[in-house]
Amino acid sequence: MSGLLHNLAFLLVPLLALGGTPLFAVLALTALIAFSAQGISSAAVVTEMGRLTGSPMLIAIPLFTFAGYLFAEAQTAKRLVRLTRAAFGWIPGGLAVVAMVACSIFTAFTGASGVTIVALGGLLMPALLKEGFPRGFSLGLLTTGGSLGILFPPSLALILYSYVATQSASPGFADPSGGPTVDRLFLAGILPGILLILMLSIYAYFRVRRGAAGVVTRFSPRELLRAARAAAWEIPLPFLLLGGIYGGKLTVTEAAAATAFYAFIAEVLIYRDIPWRRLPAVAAESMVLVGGILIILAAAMGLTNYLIDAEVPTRILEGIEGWITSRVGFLLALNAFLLVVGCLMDVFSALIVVVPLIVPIAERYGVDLTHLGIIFLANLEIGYMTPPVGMNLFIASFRFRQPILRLYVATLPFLLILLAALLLITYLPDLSLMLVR
Amino acid sequence: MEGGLFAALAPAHRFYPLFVALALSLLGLRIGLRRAWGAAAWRRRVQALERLVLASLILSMLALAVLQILLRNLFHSGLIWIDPLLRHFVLWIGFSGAVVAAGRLRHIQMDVVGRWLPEGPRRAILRATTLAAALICLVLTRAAWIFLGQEHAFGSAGLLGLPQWILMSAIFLGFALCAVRFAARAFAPGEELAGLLLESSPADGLDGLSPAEDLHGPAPARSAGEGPPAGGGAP
Repeated sequence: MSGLLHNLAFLLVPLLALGGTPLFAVLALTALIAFSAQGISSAAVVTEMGRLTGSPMLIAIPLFTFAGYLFAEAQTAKRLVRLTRAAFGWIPGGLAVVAMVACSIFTAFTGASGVTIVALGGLLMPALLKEGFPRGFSLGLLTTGGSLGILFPPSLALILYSYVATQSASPGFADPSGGPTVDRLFLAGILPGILLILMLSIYAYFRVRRGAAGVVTRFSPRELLRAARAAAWEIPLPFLLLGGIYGGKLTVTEAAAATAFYAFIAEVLIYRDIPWRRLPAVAAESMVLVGGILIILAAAMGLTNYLIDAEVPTRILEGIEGWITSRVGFLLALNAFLLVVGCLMDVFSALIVVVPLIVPIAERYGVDLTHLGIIFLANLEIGYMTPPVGMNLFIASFRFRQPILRLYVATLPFLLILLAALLLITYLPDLSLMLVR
Repeated sequence: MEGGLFAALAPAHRFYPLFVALALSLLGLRIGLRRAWGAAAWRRRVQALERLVLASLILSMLALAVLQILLRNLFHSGLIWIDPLLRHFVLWIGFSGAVVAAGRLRHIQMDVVGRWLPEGPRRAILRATTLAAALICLVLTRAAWIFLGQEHAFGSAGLLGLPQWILMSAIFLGFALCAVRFAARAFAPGEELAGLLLESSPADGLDGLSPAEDLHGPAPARSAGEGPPAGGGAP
């Protein structure tokens, strides 16, 4: 192919991407063109894809996702809502906290915020309205709640960031904290995640009191005990998971296998929420999501290698070094950039495509890569609900049968609060790194 | 370029006519079977096959991983081939999942334009992008074929006595099937395409999973016609 042809082909790429061509195909096409321009055989693109078999870390992705889908299919959501309600429902505005905590746990395990809105939305929406929350507020809350969980372990996004960042970190730059490993990221996300929930809870507290006379649930130790007993097989899981990893008993990959096995025992054998004949359907459904993510990862592997070889990050760095001189300035620019990325792409593909480009630059500005991961996820999480194309807005519009414009308005206050929280997370690295040290 | 079995079967420069002929006969078979069994029965059987493959992969992966944990913690031993085998499972699961996602048009995508367009232009764009995906997969299938030829000629012995090229053939099979499935959907009759559009809407992320109670009665999962197409990561 001649040079002109290559340039024309490159022009096609953004068109195909914006038109809605599957992203893996767009990425693979870009890699094919780039390789061909260098005179490298297209087989090299496939060789790079073979690297999918190179990391034990990736084993965790299908296993955690399978576990998450088992919980999603079972009555876990109901038990979870009942339990958090018995625990926090008595606080004025407490049901909003319940909704956020339940959504967070759910998203952390299922990895997909869309599933959360669909699965928990129908359960929580009527309850919120009944307890005196305005309709717009409730809509905004549940739309936001869908993505809150991606900062908490064992979220798929944290694992994926860790994998991609580790691959693209340059060996010469020693990360002061010891590198973006999964176990560090699992810890790093906890406080920022709690901060988001806390700030939204304060807002909820004021909204319910100003709204209609709220029906406040009274605290009942008996109901708490009953709810806890109903969820007795699910409550230990987070503790087993974190205890296993941080007690040094299990690697993250083994923890994923243990979680999936535990979910299988609890939901199929003990609760029997999932009949045996439904099991293949649930397993298959979860693997469609996994396949969608892994094939993008595969397609991006050749491309990122090419981009690093072509020193694209270095060139970006040279371009911005003139006018971004400080770390704070870099982080501010990064926030703005990632918000745009977040509303165009979903979290997974954004991580796969953007992280390799940003990591070498962030290293130059002295950003801790674990902290960078939390900034990435917090940004992308907000991008999910940023108009005009944030994905959660569309899912919620579909789920609650509300016009999309109404959701723009309903989520606006939440968006502003999350942006404030994002600034805190970005400029207070200790918030992310406190637990890691 | 490289000799051996793969080049003998289909040399790289003659790959496209051979593969396209194969793909067309597969598409012909699809049309024939759909007619013989009826579209609904064909769909049911394909989905049953998809479930069988994906569920056996993830369940065996889980069983092996758990076995390894037990061996390691209870008997302080382990089977040396389990870990590399699990890593290859990632490849097979990834590509099988991708083939199923291709059949349901549920691949992750940026969908910026489509949401705002009326049904007609939206379908036209969907056909165009799906066709583009089919063509790209076709090129990748050829690349994977050349890659397999190299692995076959020079590759090392893989796991459990299986040669490396067999372990890596998931990439070739995956792209080949994706190419065929995308092509079938790019030229699908209008009603089939409409059904796919509806099916790939976000609420279908829970494809058949029990719908939670709705604010207004039963869940809209399949009934609502105006749902936006899959926004991508929405599973």
